[in-house]
Amino acid sequence: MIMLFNIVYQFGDALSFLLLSAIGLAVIFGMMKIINLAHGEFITVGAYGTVVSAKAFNLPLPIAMAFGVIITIIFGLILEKLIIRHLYGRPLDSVVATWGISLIVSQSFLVIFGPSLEGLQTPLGNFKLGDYSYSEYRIFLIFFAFILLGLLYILFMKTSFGTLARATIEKPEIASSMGVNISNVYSVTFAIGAGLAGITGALYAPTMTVVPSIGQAFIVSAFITVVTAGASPFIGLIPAASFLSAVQTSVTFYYKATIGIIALLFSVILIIRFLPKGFSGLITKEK
Amino acid sequence: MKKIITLIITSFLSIILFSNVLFAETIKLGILEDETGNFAIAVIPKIHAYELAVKEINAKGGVLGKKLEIVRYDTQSDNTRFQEFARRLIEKDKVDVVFGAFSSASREAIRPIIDKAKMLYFYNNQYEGGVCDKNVFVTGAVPEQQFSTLVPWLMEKYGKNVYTIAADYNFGQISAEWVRQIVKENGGTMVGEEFIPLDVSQFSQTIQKIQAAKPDVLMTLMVGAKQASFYEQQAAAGLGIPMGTSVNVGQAYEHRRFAPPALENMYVTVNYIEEVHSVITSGEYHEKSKDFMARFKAEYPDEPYVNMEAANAYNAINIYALAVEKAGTTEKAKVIEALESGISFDGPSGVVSIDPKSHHGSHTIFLVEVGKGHKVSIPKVFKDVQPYWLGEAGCNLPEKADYSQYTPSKPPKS
Amino acid sequence: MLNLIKKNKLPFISFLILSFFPIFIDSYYLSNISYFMCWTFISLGLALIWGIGGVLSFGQTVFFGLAGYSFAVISINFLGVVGVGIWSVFLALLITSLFGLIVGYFLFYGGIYDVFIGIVTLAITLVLETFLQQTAGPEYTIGTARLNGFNGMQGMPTIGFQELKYGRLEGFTQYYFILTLAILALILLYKFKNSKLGLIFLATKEDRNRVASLGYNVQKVQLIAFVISSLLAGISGILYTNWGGYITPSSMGLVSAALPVVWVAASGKKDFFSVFIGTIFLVWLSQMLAINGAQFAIIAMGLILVISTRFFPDGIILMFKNKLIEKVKWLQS
Repeated sequence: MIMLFNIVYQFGDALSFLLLSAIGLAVIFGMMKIINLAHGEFITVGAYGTVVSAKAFNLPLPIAMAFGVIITIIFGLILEKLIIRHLYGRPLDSVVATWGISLIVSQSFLVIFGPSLEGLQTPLGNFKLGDYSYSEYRIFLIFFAFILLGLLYILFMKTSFGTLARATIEKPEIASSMGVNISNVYSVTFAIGAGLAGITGALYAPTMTVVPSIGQAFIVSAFITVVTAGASPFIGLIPAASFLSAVQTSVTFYYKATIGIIALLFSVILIIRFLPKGFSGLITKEK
Repeated sequence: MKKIITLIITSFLSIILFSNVLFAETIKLGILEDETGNFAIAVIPKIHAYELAVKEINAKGGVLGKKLEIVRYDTQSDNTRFQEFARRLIEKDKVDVVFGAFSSASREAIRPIIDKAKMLYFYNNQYEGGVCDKNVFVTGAVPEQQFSTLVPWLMEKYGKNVYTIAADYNFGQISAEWVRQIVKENGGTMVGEEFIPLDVSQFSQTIQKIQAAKPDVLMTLMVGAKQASFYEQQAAAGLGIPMGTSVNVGQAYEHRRFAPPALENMYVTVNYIEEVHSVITSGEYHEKSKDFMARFKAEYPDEPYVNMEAANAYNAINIYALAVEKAGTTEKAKVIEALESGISFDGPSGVVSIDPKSHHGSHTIFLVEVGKGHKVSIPKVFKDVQPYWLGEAGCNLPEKADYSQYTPSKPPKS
Repeated sequence: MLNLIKKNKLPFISFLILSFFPIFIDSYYLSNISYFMCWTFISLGLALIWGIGGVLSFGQTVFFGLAGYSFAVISINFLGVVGVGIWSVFLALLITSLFGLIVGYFLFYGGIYDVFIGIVTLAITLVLETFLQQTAGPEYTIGTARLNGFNGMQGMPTIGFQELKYGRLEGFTQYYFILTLAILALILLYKFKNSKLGLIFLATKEDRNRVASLGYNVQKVQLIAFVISSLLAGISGILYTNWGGYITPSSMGLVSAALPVVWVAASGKKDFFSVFIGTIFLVWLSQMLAINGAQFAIIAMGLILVISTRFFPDGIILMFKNKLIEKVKWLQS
């Protein structure tokens, strides 16, 4: 019984990490097709916003987290206005610009805040089952990841804004001729993506060492999850992340973590080869 | 015509002579350290310690009547930068000696360049040990100094079942090998070992594996900011097993940066940390550390933490100065000879002597305990711990030049 | 030949200047410029597949690293054997292009396109990096060569004829060798671009299916270009390994993998000469900034990249080249 719970806990933990890594990128890369190499830095902004506001104004953690997310949204909006909007339609060039942004952000944080921030304590407590003990916050993260994804699915698939956003990104000219202010739709969608990355940063900030490079811990996981999720990222994310985390946790369990990572990367290669439309293609049957 | 030629030749010669006099006035110390990038946090105090040592020596009139001059580049925690700038120091700046490098990979990146140019090089960091190189001197602590003190002490106090988690690369693997060997020698059992890639930042699975093995002591040989997240996560999960390490606290002062209880119940062996004189309230170590910290803070009042690598950097400059003084020249072969004659320097944590055979330094080792609320205490001090392993294994640099790195499983051929 | 020069006056003049450089500079700058030029081949290879064929590989570093490691392993194993400094290079390049062939076959015949190529190649380079990082133990020894994990390999001989005084790739020899190789690579790449194969490859960027329906074997053309690009990345890897006497897994990591992409895009991916000059310029720039800018170096580098893509979408070097040719009548052909 405990063994089973352990397996679920480990699997859920890895799954929520992949989901939360990917969630902002699913909007910015999955939908908007911007290869955002600065995704990690958006997460960094969220984490720093949270920790700095918690320390500076002595805010309770949830409010500090909200603060961190708001800062990331503002940051995303500014970036969109200054740089990103000039890159729509040339996705490959976005590689260089976002790489540049990522260099600027992480190094600016180093200059401004020094090499590391004093950490926060992980909220909630822990509980025991037999010989094992578990962090309650980790279990909260698993549930939160699913709720967030559900909300996102509703936003983009079930609301009129969602339809508008998907239509605009798919066929900007037509949307524009129908009277849609496409530039606003782009801005808002990008800001949502940035805000989601900010949420990831805010959520993981109390569990990790807060350094300027904190976001880089998420970047590879984010890209592989979004890519294997396929063309409709909000449908494909959960199956993709489940599959990848199942591979990683089981291989890590039987061999070691390094082999787990190698297996993870290999399965990404094989998924792309044999499921070119990703997991969402498998579900929506549009092969 | 002849006159003009002679004039040209004499002026040319005098320029050469004059410039020789001009440039020979200083002894140039090349420094390669990571002021930015992943390692900056542990390296910045080190850079200041070099500057402090140079300033003090120059205030006393320099070495052989010459002032010391620092030529420093920021290597950005990037191995290729190390290579570029090592060449620049040697070929363009024509320095007399090179100090620096934090990670072992960056040291290995410049060692071929150093050896090719027959440059003198000081590596001033605790590391996995084993570098037996005619041109290289090491002032940082090595595994036999950190683990043969720490591991038996922990086993005696908490029990004989040891579990190691280590970064899955040279440093972690070789350190784990040392732990394994010392545990066995002291009649203990390794109940588990796990190696974790440097990129991993999430540890729930690791924590459960540890709980399943029920160790008495957990050795955490974790490196870098990502892996440091382990401590917060194990505390949040309520792991509660005494931990031992050679890397944390003494380098990147995690006990100050992390919110308690992340590092509670952690034991680490260091050859210096800034708390030494506030914890040990009297005697030799108190006086020396207090004096060093007073001088350091006078120069850099905002330094967040003075770590063991800062002490190693400070010692390295002073040891080099003593060797040049003894050799009477900055000529590298002569300075190496002087260093091999047994040079000692009385530094921030007592005497450091260079072992002629292996070119490594002896140390005072402080066993540091991080207690409730991350309060630091020092339950035990080991005096004059020698870097014995390389010499015993067959590294004998004064007799036989060598340029390799060895490990316990691949010792030098005798 | 004369016609070639007439058509490409700017490249010709640039190479003329580069070949007279060593007279004016000391040994440090000589080896430093050689170092900058080491990186140009991986960029040129990427410009070939990305600039012409629209295939963005994010993992050219896997060929860079594989070539460097193969060269190190082979040459260390046969240390002292006659000519090892020559044939080990060819063997390493053979291994690299074979691997390029396998990866390319998997990609193009497996129906992988667009951004997926980037992710697959990135995954491949990260797999090799992750694997090599943990090979510090004695069990990872090939013959007499230890892979030595994260800390990297060293102890390989200098490329060339060990017995001859000027026969090794160091100092002047290294400089002129790399320069000649770069000129050769540029000429061959231009020839490829204008050949029938190159034109088909160019057409595949616009519309794969239409090219295929015209009866051309799209996959084969893409594969050929991909193997050439892997070979060029391998040349960079070997030259870099030789320059520093050292190769490490981090040269295949995420940061290293992104660099060629950044160099090529910022220089102007459609023009080989701009990519050649741009790579040298950007490597030099980041070094200069690191020397003079201290902690603002990386910020400045980032700003340059952002501004150049924001305002010069075709690449900043290509833009300058076109401006220069436009202004100076004499340079026009």
